[in-house]
Amino acid sequence: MIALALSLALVAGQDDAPTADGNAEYPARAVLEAFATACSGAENLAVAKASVEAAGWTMVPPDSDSPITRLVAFGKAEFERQAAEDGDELESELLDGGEYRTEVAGRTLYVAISGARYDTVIGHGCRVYDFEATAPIEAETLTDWAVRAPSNSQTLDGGLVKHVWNPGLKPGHMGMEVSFVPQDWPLRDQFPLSGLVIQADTVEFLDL
Amino acid sequence: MHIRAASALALMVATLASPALASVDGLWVNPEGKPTLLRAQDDDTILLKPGTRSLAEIIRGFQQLCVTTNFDKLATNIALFDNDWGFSYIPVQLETKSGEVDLGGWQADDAALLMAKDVFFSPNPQCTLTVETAERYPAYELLDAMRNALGDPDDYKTIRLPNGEVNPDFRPIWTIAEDDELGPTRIIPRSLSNGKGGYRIHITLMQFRSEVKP
Repeated sequence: MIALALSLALVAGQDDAPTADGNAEYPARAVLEAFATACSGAENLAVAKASVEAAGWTMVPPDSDSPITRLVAFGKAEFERQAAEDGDELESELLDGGEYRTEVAGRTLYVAISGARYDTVIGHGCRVYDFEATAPIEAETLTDWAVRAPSNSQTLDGGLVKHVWNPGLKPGHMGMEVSFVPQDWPLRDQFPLSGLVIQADTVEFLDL
Repeated sequence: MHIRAASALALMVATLASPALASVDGLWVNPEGKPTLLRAQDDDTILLKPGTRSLAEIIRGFQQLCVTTNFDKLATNIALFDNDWGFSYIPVQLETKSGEVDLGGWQADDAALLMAKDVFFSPNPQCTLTVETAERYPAYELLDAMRNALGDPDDYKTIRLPNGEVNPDFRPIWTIAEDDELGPTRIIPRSLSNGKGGYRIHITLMQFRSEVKP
């Protein structure tokens, strides 16, 4: 995935893309609020999973066939590959996360709650996906909703869009990202992701 | 290392460049009192260098700059007149729709001081002193030094498990003030890695919401 990230960075360029909420039918606010509710406790995986379940999301069994299980399986395989590459130089482990699904304003949303430890550093992620979205959410809509502009925004060749906020939306969150991957993204055959991704990231340092 | 850990599985989406605002090389704590970063380090961050301060000196510095200043940056500026660590303020302004928020803090060669009160990223008032040390001070040495300065921590009876073994989850806390409305004010010391093979002592003063247990 790091290689993929680099490849995307290398093809960076400006490109005007249509926006999801340019189409008034896309329920951007409802989707963003679903993210805020689901991912507000990302710094604590147990709290995050309980929050998602309390909000009515349904657990997606890991062995089911869905876009979220394919993506998570891909991510875990990449993690294992990287861990094998790191060998004894970096102790790492995946933490116990989970995947869930819900319907919001006619959209099927998935959330993946995940975490990994690298030596004495732990990273948690909470990501809401709308795999079928066909356009990004407008930056102005995001700014109004987050009450501040992104720290960084990029639109890349091929219609990839990424907005980053540091700190994140909620107290203690290091970052929030709202990204869009076009349905016809050329690398989709290698990387099972499309549509909107809204994510919260946290980091925690453990004692020596 | 920090960036990589923070991106754990976040790599589901391409990780591109972070914004190029300067930042202080210190840590914050999240609402649970756990050490965290609020933004990724960037190329403009001046990294702390390992220093030779003793634990007693670090604890005295924390008491001077955090405990006596009540989460007040102006009071901290005044307290710094009597401090010879070499701190200078690094402003980091964050624009929001309701005005600017200051993410900045003070930094010396081997130490960083971050403070926040009534801001969105830390509704719990907090003051955190981070000191990079050449010598490794394990958690038990830090605990002893803190006990010398403050007495036993609130949760000291949990340092051992019922079978007599050391409790690996023991995290000492000292409650130094109680407020029925605002919640308790607590001190949390930690002995951490700097993520690059170095050592850091991190001592936080934070006002917890009443219902949150660190």
